[in-house]
Amino acid sequence: MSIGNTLIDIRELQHSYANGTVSLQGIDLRIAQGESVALVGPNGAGKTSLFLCLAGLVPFKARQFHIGEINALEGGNRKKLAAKAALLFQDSDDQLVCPTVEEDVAFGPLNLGATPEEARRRALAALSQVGLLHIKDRVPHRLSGGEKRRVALAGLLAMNPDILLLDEPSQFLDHRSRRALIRILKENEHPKLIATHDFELALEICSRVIVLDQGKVVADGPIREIFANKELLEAHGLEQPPSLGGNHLPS
Amino acid sequence: MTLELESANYQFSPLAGFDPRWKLLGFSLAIFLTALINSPFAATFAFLLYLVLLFQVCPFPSWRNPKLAWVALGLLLFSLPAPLLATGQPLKSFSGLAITREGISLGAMLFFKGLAIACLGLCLVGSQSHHDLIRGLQGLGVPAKIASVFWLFIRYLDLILEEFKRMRVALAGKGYRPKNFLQHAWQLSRLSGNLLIRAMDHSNHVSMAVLARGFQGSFHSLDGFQSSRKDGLLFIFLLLTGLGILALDRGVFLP
Repeated sequence: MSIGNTLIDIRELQHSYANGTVSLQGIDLRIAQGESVALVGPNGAGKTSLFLCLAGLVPFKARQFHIGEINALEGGNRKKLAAKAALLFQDSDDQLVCPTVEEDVAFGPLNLGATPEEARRRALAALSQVGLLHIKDRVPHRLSGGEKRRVALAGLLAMNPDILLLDEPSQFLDHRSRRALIRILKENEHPKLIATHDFELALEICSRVIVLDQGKVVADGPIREIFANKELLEAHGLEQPPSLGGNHLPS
Repeated sequence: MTLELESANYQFSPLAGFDPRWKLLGFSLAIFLTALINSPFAATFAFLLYLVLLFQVCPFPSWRNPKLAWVALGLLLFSLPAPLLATGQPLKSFSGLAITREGISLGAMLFFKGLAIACLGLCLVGSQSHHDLIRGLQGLGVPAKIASVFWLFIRYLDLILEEFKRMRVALAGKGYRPKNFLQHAWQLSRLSGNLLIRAMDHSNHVSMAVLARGFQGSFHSLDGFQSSRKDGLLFIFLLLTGLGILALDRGVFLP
């Protein structure tokens, strides 16, 4: 059961792939209602694996695993996590499956048991939130990269989840699309966990950051404080963002 | 993602607005009746007729023509050896092999029958989205799990084709220029394992992405099915055409 305003409460989360590769080694994670948290780490640190566990898409072991009121360790509850923790995949194309934008955004609500009328209402509201109501009748696969990302995000918003899990949301986006996405995410009040290499985006949206390396949490705290710690970042293959004094040019 | 198998312009097809259930029923029946054809004459007639239908239903040459060409190439693999394999009156013999009249007839029948069926299949998938096709299957009472397997099959085939395209571009980018078809085929066969692994990886993402949105094996839609007189007319047209060609095949029209 969730405690106070705790939304996610996980203890000693472990996950390994079928080939034996251990991706998560005893992760402890607590996220409060309304919190936006960045998740950073080098490639292969376990960010995507953590997201797949949170969305209940892969089997895992844990001593405790609560999202909202759901205890995922109780029989059959793991599959209910997808409705609570909505995951935006790195490649939006993977997520777009229907013939029109409106149908695609309504795909989640319909799967969760909403009536067609309710699903349509939620789809249109979500499209309005991401500023794409005018393209509701278009074919998703023929949109630009930025539009696809926003349609995929609208698909998650329409599910009305407890938390948004965003895996590299600004990847492959041009400057204008990235700005539009940041604006939408800043305006949106859903709690968010954002896995990203785009530290500037993290600074704009999140107040807290978790640094993951080799499947372990190596730092967790206020984002400006942790991003100001150059030694910590470099020890885990990361660089300070330019706005905090990081220099990305070769010395 | 381009969705290789889905026509990007399907909504401009004259059959786009038709009820997918009637379309599925009509085209499936026409395909079944075409499969019963035995004579090369009826098979050729069916092919020409359904080719005209395909040109009317799918006026998108860049989507339609390569697919038809690939099917024709595949059919040649089965049709070309037929004259040498079938027993009958030999027309010409060489090195212990004989080309027979019956074999030529069989090869032609296989080739044109296959093409006629391909034309019908392309008419069906080229005039609507995959999503509607699967909804239509469910609407006809096909169990949701079987419809989902069908959808995933189409989607995965798309992913394999897409990865194949990327790998070809990557090869060309590294300066690979095949000297001849055999060398090209050999190189592609060496890459096929890699292709399948990459496509499987990609398909795993698609499967997780739909599961993440609550998919439990059944497709739902905002709009229900709406049948009208034109759907019935299309079904009757396909049924009568199929029966007519079969009658031609069985010699019903002969004196």
